[in-house]
Amino acid sequence: MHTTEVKILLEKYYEGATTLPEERQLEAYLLSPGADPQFAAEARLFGHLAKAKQETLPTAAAKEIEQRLQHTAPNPFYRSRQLWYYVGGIAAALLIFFTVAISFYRQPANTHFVAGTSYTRAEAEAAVLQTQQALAFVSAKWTQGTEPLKKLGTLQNTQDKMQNLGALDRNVKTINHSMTKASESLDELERLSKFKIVIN
Amino acid sequence: MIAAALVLMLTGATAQTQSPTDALFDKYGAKDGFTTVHITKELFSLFAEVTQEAEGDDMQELNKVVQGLDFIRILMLKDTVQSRQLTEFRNELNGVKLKDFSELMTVNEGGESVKFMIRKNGKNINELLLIINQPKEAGFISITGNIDLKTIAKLSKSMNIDGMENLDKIK
Repeated sequence: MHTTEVKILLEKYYEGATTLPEERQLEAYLLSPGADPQFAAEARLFGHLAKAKQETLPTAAAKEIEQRLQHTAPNPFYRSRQLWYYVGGIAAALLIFFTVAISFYRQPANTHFVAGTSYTRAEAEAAVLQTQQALAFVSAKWTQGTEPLKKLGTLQNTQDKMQNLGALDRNVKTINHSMTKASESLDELERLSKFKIVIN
Repeated sequence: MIAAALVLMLTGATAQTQSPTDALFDKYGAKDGFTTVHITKELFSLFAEVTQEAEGDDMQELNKVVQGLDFIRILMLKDTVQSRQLTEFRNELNGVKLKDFSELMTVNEGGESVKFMIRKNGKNINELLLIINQPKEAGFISITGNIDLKTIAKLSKSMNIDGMENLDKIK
């Protein structure tokens, strides 16, 4: 193995970037008798590590540790903390639910309902305005349409009055005619009579 | 058999009570571009309460008119980018069969046409329908209930509003 390659692998090893085959390759080289003396320190380190790997725990000690682990009672603090997590989670969920529900159902502060109905004051006022406008439109168009009829009615009245005047005129003429006839009759009587008839 | 007869009877009853404009209102009521207004009897009953603070004879006259009404419905479509939509709606509006209605008069002015139609029950007018055709707008106003045309005619004198230009400002 070339020293440059060993240096690169060692650098990777210290950075924790080596793979297991690379580590095995490095270990095999450093622990081999042909390893370059400049890597003596690394060779010692790898030697210790290899030795440590081979060491095993005495059976009695291993059993004791295992037993202690099995019989250790759960820490009450951790158990209660778990419970508080549940309680806190439920409380937070309820808080969010009620906040959303209240904000959903709560009306704006400046809105109030008309007594005994489901309409707000603003809705009722808008309805009044719309009704007013719609009826005003209907009314205006109705007036516009019926106005000529009223004028026709006025014209008819004038015609009637004219006709009445005509009838009056005819009556006056008839009276005049009758008066003329009466006057002629009186003249005739006067001619026939020796006495003069005076009419006051 | 009995069930079929009942269905027929119910269908007949529904058809009798439904005004021809109901179909138009249902069809176009929720569509974009249409201004729809539906004011119910319940809202009319609130008029006195809402207008009690308002001064003037016009509010008194208005109260008098609306007390006998069942509802007012307005459906209007303004000419927008889609002028084809207005043409189609105008054609459908003018083609609606109004067999129970009789025409009172049509007011034409400056390209605007307003047709007055009434539906009567005996001597009483049950529905007043105005079919409005304007160059840039079309639609109808339907007023249902106990309608007193004389009182409505007086309204325009007491109010200073003679158009519908502000209707679309309120949704």
